[in-house]
Amino acid sequence: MNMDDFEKKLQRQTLRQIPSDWREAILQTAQERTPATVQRLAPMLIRAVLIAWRELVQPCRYAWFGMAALWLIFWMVNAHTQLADSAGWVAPSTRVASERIRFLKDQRQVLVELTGPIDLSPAEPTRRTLPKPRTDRGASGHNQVGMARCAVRAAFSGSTYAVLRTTAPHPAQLIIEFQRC
Amino acid sequence: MQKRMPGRLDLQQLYDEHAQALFAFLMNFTRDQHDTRDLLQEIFIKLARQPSLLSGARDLRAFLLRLAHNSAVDLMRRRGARGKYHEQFGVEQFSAFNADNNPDERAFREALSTALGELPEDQRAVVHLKIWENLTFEQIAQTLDIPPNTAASRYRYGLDKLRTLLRPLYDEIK
Repeated sequence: MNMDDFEKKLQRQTLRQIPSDWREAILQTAQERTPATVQRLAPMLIRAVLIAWRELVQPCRYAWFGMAALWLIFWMVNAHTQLADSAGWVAPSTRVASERIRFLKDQRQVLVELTGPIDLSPAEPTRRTLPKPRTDRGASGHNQVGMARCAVRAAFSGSTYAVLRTTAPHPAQLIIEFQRC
Repeated sequence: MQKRMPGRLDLQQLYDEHAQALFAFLMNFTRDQHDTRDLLQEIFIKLARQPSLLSGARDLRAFLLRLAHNSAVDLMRRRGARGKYHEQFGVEQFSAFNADNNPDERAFREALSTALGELPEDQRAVVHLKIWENLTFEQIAQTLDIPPNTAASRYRYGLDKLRTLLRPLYDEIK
């Protein structure tokens, strides 16, 4: 593509020269970052620390220093508290808590005196009745369910019954025995 | 005699051979001398840290211009608000051209600098690389990572706009 006069005119416009004082500054700054310089300055471990410092700490140094200061404050407060505890000083909140515990123990003692000792032994496990043979279950189950229906109907009609026994060997079967009072 | 380190020698040579071209490109792209300096510094730090970047480059100048372009685009994105501030309030912008004693030429350069500032960044980059770096559209396409046809059309649009903006002055001083 041939250039026309206008393009040639543009091409003749000389561009500004780069300021001469930039050269030294730019090269020096770049030189400090060369791997060769870093390698020469320190062995591997120190180099890792330097790289970590440059990559992690330096970009957000204010945040890191802030966190370090905060940690220092927490550490000092913690150390002060531990020192006070070891010297026998009890905080007011701790004293109030121990008084409450003593009060609760007294109340429990009074309750035991009034109601007798509380049985804390584990409860006896419920006995499961062994299911009857299927042939027996069918007939008796039907009869008992029918009986229970009658008893319930009677109870609603005004008679008083006491429930003697309720067993449920199977979720589908509910056997309730009533006795007229 | 103190022996020069290879890294230092390479960097110096690199600077002497290409810094002027990078400076002109970045000045034209960013329109700000401070940004140009920051970007140039960033590029040389990147090269100092990773000399292996250059090992795969076939055309060193094109590679460095590409590096400069990418850094400039990143900077523009980061400082989008500041760019708008420049445009809206006419904060002082540095010209990419030398001052000239001839008043007509000086006026033309000032007008050219202003007209370049009115081009979109992508067109300005192509126009700069074509006119002042003498790159082919193929090379421009590789440098800016765009298809050659896109480079050609951006150049045509950019040049037409410059022609329109500068025609009165150009006709006058021709």
